[in-house]
Amino acid sequence: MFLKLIKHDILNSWKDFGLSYLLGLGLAVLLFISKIPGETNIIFSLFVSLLMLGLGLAVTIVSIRALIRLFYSSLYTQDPVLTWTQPVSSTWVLLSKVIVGFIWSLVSIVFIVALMAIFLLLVSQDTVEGLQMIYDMFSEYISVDPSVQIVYIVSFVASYCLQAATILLVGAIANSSWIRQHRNILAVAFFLIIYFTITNIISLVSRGGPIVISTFGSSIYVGLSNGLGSALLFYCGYIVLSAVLFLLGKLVIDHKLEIN
Amino acid sequence: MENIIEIRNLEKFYGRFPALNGVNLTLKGSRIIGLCGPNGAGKTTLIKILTGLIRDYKGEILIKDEASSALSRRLISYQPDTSRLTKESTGYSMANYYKDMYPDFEMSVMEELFAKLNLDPRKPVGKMSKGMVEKFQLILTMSRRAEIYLFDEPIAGVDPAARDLIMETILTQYRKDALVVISTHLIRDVETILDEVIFINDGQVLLHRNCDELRSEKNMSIDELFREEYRCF
Repeated sequence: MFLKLIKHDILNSWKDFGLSYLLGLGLAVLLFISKIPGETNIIFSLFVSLLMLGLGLAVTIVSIRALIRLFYSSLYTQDPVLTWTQPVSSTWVLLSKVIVGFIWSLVSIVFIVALMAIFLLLVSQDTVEGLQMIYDMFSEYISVDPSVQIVYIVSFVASYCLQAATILLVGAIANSSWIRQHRNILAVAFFLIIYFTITNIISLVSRGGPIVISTFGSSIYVGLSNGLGSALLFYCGYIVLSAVLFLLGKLVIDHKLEIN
Repeated sequence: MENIIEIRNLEKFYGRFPALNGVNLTLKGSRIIGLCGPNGAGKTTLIKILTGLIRDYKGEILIKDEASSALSRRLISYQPDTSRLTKESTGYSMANYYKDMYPDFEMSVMEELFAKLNLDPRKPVGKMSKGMVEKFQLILTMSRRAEIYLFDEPIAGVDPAARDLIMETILTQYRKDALVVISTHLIRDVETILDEVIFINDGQVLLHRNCDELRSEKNMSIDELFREEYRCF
């Protein structure tokens, strides 16, 4: 049943996420195909840069809108009757949203990387030079200390979990019997208060987090302030906190849910 | 006949306002029950509690001897008073969802009902009229071989011809050993199919009786009794 729930969440969010990514990529590829080989002038580069910037912005807006729809609207404003009358526990309903949101977040990253690669190919003199620039971009990332790369990945997962759990908790509170009016506005206010309070406290306690970025002249150095172990422990704390918020959200739904 | 739904000392307050105040009911299978009362009587709140859409209440609800839970919700086929469908939903997209989520969903019944009610299963909800959406929701509800059917105002807001069609569909399609609860204030349109009637007002059950017994005892129709009881029409 859980897998079926995930399947339907993916199908329902496909139009929000997938179609816009495909359209964006299609546009970028079309530009690439229409480019005259060897001819890269300033106006064309500027045009492409603006277009790519627009696409990047559009993707960000679409992703935020789609995540709100996935984590909030589908639960409380658009499909609440279907969601909360189906024979599935609230844990599975919420977990399915978290997993599907994570899948789409990964797709967003792949899309942005693909967009950057196409951009480099477009503004370069020829394809070989473009490919070299893409290689340089990736090798710069690969050359970073592997432990930092691990921490980057874990931090991405941990930050995602905290955001998702916070949205689910505030959605549950705003749609509980405690609140009967202005639920959507209050959900946004609760999210801003809870999320920024938590992240600011964490930032203060950890003095900026375990990843240190410093510059030496023109080069950038990325490292870990207290080693891999403590960095992983730090983000494990993030995930534990997310789990607590998730369970609180589930508790509120199980005992206080009130769909108008 | 076994008890399908047992409600004991049910209380639900919206702030200080009592939407349900000490409701006790025992509902058995193989019956069509009318849940009647004026607007604001507590009908929708009661149905929403049974379906799990409202979970903050006092009292006890047993569905086939189990406390209300995700498992007990599998027994209920529910038609809300407002549309539960997104604008993009079509008959086929909803059929895919129902097939996966409800083991008692029957695709053949759904197709038969789409044909009978003259609706196109490929048409999205966004392009349907209000009456068509009501019919679409009815098809989804009746395509399940559920043990409990809960209808919240299924005929409010549709024309008299559509009302007849909706009532006829409910009557011909429901599982005969199932419990059917129809919440309405349009008693005249449903009276002929009811086995029992519950009158509710101000969150309290005023009466829960067999319809035939009530008619012969009071020597009037349920609709007349309702009007006399509430004097609101």
